Amino acid sequence: MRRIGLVLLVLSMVACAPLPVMKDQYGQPELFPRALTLKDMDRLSLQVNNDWCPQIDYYVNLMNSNLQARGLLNARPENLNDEDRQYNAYAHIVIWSLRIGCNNPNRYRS
Amino acid sequence: MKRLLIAAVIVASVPAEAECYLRMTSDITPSQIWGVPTDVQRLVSPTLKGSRCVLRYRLNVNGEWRSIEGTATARTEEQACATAADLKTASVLGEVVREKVRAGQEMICSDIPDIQVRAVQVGETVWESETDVHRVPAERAYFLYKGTQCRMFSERNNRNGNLYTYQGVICRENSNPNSRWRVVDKY
Repeated sequence: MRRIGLVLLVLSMVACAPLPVMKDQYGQPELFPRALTLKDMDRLSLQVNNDWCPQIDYYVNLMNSNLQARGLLNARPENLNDEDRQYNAYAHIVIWSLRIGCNNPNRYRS
Repeated sequence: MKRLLIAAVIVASVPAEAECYLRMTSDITPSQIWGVPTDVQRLVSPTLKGSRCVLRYRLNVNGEWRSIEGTATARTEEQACATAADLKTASVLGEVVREKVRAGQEMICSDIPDIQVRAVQVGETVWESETDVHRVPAERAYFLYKGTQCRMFSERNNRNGNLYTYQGVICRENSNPNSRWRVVDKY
């Protein structure tokens, strides 16, 4: 019973963990990070914030490489099925949140 | 050959069809206006008193784009257009709907091209008011991207009976304050 509890705890920690820069064993950003799922993209689009600005190129490349891997780079949203449309939208939200937020720091201040 | 020539002359002499609108007194208050006038088109003609300026522009009133027209005559073109830009004396242009034409409304026809919100594609050159403002207030403000003024837009689209909302980014084509816009992204 305790083991099951421990497994559930670990699983919930993994599920809730932020998904920032994918790093290799030396702490460097991974050159070939794993493919991001729709759930990952959804989470990233909600987590994106100003702390990511110093790595903006990394994140934009990460989004674009994942879009490319799914054949969604430069896709017209009208031609996509629901899952691809959402995936494409989440990736673009991350890209534009960074492009806008990092260059216009006062935009979201109240 | 002679018949063909006559037919060509007849076709060429038919004037291009002008768009017609209802001109109504403006009841827009400053608090209803989102942003600033955009997509300004001006038509200036000489008169005995100087210049007559017809200024047509688009204004976002509570989230909906409206076409506004101001007219003024003055000694110089600049004076006439400055007076025509005053919203207090301007008119709102509406679609001509036969059943709804009332006394006090005036129908005008103009060669100035009409601008309407429509579905756009990446790479297209558009008038700013061909795209809707963003649904989220925090995303409506202009921003700079690569030194160019840009803004986000929303687009509602009906496909197979389902309503989809897309969003995207348009940026000015150049630094001219009345330049057209380029659709940079849509998703």
